[in-house]
Amino acid sequence: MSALANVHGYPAPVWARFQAPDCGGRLSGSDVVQVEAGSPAAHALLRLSVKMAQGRVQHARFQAYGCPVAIAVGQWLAERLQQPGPFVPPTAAEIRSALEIPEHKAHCALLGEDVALALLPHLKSSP
Amino acid sequence: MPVYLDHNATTQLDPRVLDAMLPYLQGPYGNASSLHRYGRAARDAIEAARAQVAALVGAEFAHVLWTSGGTESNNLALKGVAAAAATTSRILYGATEHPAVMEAAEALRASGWGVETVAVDAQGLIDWTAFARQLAAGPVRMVSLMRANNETGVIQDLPRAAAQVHAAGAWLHVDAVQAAGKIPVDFVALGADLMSLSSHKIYGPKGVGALIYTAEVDIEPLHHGGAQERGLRGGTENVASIVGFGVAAELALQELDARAQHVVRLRDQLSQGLRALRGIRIFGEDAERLPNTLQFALSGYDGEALLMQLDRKGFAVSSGSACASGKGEPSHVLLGMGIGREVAKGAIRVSLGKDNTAAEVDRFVEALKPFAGQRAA
Amino acid sequence: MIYLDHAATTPLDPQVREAMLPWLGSEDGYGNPASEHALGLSARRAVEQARAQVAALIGAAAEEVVWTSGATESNNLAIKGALEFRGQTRAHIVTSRIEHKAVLDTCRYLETRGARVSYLNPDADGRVSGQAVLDALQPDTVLVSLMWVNNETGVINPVEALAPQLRARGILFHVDAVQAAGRLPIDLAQLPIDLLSLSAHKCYGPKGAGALFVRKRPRARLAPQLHGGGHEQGMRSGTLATHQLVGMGEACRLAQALLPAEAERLRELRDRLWARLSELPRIHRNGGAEHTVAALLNVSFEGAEGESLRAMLPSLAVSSGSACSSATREPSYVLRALGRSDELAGSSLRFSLGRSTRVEQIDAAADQVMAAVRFLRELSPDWVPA
Repeated sequence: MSALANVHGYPAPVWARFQAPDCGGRLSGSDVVQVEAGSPAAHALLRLSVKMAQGRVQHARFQAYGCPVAIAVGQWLAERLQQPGPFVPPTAAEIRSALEIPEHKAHCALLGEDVALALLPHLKSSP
Repeated sequence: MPVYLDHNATTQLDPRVLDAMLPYLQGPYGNASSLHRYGRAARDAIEAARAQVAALVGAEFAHVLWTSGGTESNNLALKGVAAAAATTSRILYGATEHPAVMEAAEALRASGWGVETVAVDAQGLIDWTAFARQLAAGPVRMVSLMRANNETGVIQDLPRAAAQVHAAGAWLHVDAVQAAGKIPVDFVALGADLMSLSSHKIYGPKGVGALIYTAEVDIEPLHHGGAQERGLRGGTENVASIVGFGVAAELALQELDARAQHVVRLRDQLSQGLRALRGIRIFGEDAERLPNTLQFALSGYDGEALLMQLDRKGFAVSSGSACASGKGEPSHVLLGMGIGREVAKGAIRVSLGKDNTAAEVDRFVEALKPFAGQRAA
Repeated sequence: MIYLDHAATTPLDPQVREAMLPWLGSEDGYGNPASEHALGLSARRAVEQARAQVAALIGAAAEEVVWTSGATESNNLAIKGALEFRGQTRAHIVTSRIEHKAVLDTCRYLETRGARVSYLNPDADGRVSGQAVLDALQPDTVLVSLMWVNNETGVINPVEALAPQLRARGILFHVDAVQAAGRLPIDLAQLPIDLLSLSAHKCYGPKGAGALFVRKRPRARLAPQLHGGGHEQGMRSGTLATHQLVGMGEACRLAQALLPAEAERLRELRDRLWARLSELPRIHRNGGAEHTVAALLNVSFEGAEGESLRAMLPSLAVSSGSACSSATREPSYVLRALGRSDELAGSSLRFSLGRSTRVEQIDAAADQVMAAVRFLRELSPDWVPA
């Protein structure tokens, strides 16, 4: 899609990721780890699928059902996972500050923290 | 074009106000509660107007609630406060209040409220001895007093009243519909807890007003439904008129002194002219009055009849309040001041405006001469 | 911007605006209609002509039209005024769960004062059946309040069949006709409805103006809710806003003139929009197709979360649920009353077409919505293409 106007005033880091989430999707294969977290209160579900190679994240993709902030959190986590260096799961506060998430959307950052924590054991157990 | 001397009934829309309103009367402007772009533009305009109206009376922005006009504001103040009270007690209102206050208060009797009038003296000013006695006689929930009277223009000493009202543990509602824009009105300095305002008395559009009230006041909505106005006044906002009210309030504040000086000069000229006529009585003359208002009686004349004669000659004046006219009843304001029915029936109210001229006042006095002359003959 | 939110508010018709301007800007249009001088009288004549225009749209007599500041006030006056006049604040009222907030909140308020209220559920198509209303009546039922056309789904309630039944039982019938006026023919000369609420800004008139029809014979009596001055036959005091009422009158005149042809045109456009959207799998038409007004289409999209869907449609002015309740961002109570889940209620869009709607806009709107839904479904973890 072409660039959309952010008429509802979402934070810029959210909006950029929401309208062009280039890490959206799902990976498959025996070396792919899937984790998810949900927030019934927010009617949101976030899933990460991460392809590992030599103990390093090779690819990361996300899927999300939820508001624009939840989708942006998925995209942001997938970007972080693919950055060089070890992956340190971000706290909700870090996610909020990185994406400038306002108070009334704080539950979306918690969703991100939950799904990142769910991924942690898989990263450690990888060879 | 008639000479318009009835500005306390309504005023002509200021062209600058109309200009501000026009964009909201064309194009697809949204319902202010809608989430899309048009709706948000409408909401921004409404909030800007809220600040302008708040500034006119030195109130807090967040304490301004939109209504459909002064009548609704007064009804909401009285009935809303009564309905939100845990137990019924007493409500007091001034003997010369506007019918909207009077009748709204009287309607509360049916639900068990004690409703009493606050007596006034011959000048229309609060009878302080009686008032103190009344406040001391038992619990009072609210006292409703006007800042300035719509017929005589008489200004009440509200800071004094407020101190007594608050000492009695009651709230003070101020009907400032006539005072706002004509004299300085300061919500805090007056000691008001609630205040009614109307747009069309200050060169704004008809059909919009405001009720101002502090956070301490418990109030129940009159119009239930919808989350507009913090849940206190349901209904899609009248955006164009609210914007107009805002601009009218801003202009009234900017031009307050100039307008007051202009009309008081004309009023003095009118007084002088009238005093030269026989059988003239001016009401509330010894009290502090609005600079634009002068109510008089030409002895032996019925006000309604004189009004019609003057109308034919091209002068728009009123026999009292526009709401009560046409009923043939003498003004309750004058009766409340202890003026006899016969004299009260002859009352004519002249209320001047920013666009009146000295020549118009001269013509008005000239037009009255034959009537005074006839009477004398 | 494609404006498909005419059920929330309509733009002021240019002809209505022209009719209003002399009462705003001219040298002799500012009199108070209650004043006795020439300026007052000419304003009063204009207000009375407008009253006749409103009456004509609904087949009423001019003196049966009471001006208000809008439908919220009309609904409050009808319901509270009727109960208060009868001194029966503890009586029974029948209404439905899909009424406008002004009716629901008024009923809830009256419950705090001792009234008993039956809130009827609609059927799966969003319609309140006449039989359900009759079944809910109790010996002390004084009032039935039912909307003619629902603002979210466009569903038409059977008020025409119900009115004679309630009249026969001596029960006062109030109808919120805000969404029906100008969209359906209304003839109160034939239809024994006692009280009927109207709004100007839903039919191309100004915001802040409305009316309540109060039948003269047999007389529907109301206690006033705004006291002071005795305007409007004592039922509603306050200075009349001439320009607003003239605007409402002109809007009603236009609506009456345009009604049959415009309804037909909008029906075709609405059906075209539904046909286009139906290319998407797993969508739900809220309110069905049978008993709905021509101008409205309400659709829920599985797998596309509501807020994201709205964010994806920046140049489309549509509502997700009633505009009035969007301020609180609750999922639509109307759609929940139809049995939709919070999820589906949240992923609904209401397209309401109007006088300015053109076929190109319908096609563009369909394209944008379908692209947005596909995009969100693509990202959705649980979305399984059909």
